[in-house]
Amino acid sequence: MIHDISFGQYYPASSVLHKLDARFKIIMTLVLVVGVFFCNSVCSIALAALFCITMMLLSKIPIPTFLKNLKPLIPIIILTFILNIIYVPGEHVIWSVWKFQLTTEALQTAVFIAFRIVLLVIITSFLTYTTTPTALTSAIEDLLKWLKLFKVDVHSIAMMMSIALRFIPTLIDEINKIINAQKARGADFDSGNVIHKLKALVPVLIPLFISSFRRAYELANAMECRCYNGGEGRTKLKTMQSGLKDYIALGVCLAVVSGFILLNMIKIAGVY
Amino acid sequence: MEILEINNVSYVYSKGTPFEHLALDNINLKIKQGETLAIIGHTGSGKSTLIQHLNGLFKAQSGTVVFQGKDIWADKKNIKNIRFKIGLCFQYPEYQLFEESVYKDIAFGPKNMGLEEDEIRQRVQRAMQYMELPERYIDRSPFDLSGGQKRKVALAGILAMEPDILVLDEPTAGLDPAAKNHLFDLIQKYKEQSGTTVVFVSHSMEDVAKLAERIVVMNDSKVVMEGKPAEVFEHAETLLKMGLSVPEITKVFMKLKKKGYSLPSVYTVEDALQSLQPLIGGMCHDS
Ligand SMILES: Nc1ncnc2c1ncn2[C@@H]1O[C@H](COP(=O)(O)OP(=O)(O)O)[C@@H](O)[C@H]1O
Ligand SMILES: [Mg+2]
Repeated sequence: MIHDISFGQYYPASSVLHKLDARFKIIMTLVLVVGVFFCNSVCSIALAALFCITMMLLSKIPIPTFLKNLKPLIPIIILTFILNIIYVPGEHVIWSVWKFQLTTEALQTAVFIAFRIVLLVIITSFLTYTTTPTALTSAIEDLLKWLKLFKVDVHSIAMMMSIALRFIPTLIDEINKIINAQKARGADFDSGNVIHKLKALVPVLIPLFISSFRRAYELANAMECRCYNGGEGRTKLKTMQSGLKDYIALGVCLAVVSGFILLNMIKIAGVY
Repeated sequence: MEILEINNVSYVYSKGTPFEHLALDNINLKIKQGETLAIIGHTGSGKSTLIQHLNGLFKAQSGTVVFQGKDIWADKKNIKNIRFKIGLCFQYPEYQLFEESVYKDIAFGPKNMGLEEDEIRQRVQRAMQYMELPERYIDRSPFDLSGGQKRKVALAGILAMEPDILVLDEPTAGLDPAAKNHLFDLIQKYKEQSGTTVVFVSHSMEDVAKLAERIVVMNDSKVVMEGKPAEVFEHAETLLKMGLSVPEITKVFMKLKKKGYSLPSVYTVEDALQSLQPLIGGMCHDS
């Protein structure tokens, strides 16, 4: 159960994608995510799929790792598929039973949207799989620097984010440990109705809150002991550097997205 | 008679990811009825992983755990009952306290067993006596107690299930020497009075020497040594190589022996005192 959370987890490998500047990767992800919404034809979706497969191979991360992220989304994909088939209006009826009519338009929309969800998940997981959480937060901090003009404390927000990210694995470990400790005393988390299950969480949540507060105090003390006083005058050990490869990668992404838009105009056999 | 047998148990964490880690490598171990067994090994050698297999918190990826002649996983639904019979106390158990009163927290296990209210009350009282917790604590919040007392409350919560085997993961970790000795005395006393089989994890050789009848040494996910304390401490050099040590007093005696004194091998201060008594006459009355 909790062991299986892999979304947002860095996957160590040494690939071109791992080496790109995190700031560029965030921008590229945004560009591609927007781009996927423009994919409205068989050809542009095929291009997007091809692009994703190439990226997967480039990332040197085993493909099943990506597919694992999709598993929890299968119910959502199926649900949207069914809803689209039922509710999207259309004219070309392929098949009808009682009041229900299956139209080409509805089928097409349903299939496209299912594909788009899959593509979105895969594209965002490129970012999280190939970028360490620390690099990710520094990149966000850097990209949001301009917000300082509006008196937004970007540094503190980034620091909170990196602390939160840093503690996710720790807390997962902690939860597992507490669950096991209470199971050793006969706690039952699996049987019973919803209310019973919620009640069974109390012996886990209380110790978890207590230890989280303890950790927070300890961390705050440790930071103060090292004279942490916010972002002012603070420099980074590793400064982010962008190079030619980052610009090339961004260029490729923009080209691919333009490809999506252009390919939308090509019709195959009457279908978009 | 063996009460618990671990046969060819292996366990890999995060199987099939780059974080894969072999934590148990084909472990074989027999725990005898009524004995006190210590599992020692440096941090990361797999001790905690091993003991979580004993009561079915982890399921061995290969191999079996056999309790009283029956595979604990033979009947999946019965695993909860196994956990009452093999009471496992985690490291730093005080971090698992959650109830509003000491009584309720100790009663959590017995309540899950489905016992009558009377029986639960008796068990809680007995467990508190074993841990020498004063009666007046019964309605206090466990969070108002000191660290050492919290630990005792948590331990009492396991004792109240009256398990056949008591398994303790580093029961004295983080306690000061006096509290440590006191807790070990309590465990020893509990063991003598109840006849429970006790398995405990530790890396303090002094503790192990004092309490254990048999020692299992783990290194790099494997069991590398097994035997009576005297037998295990004979291999001081091997132990030192594995980042473990032998009791200080054993080291002193080994050095003396190297210098040509004829002395027995000892591993507790009491034994040392006794073996020296004839040499110095009546001078060591008390330590
Ligand atoms: N939940 C986990 N996921 C991955 N690896 C783990 C996990 N828990 C423990 N390990 C690893 O397994 C090894 C054995 O751990 P553990 O049984 O806790 O050792 P010990 O109790 O002897 O210190 C360690 O190297 C540890 O890093
Ligand atoms: Mg441990």
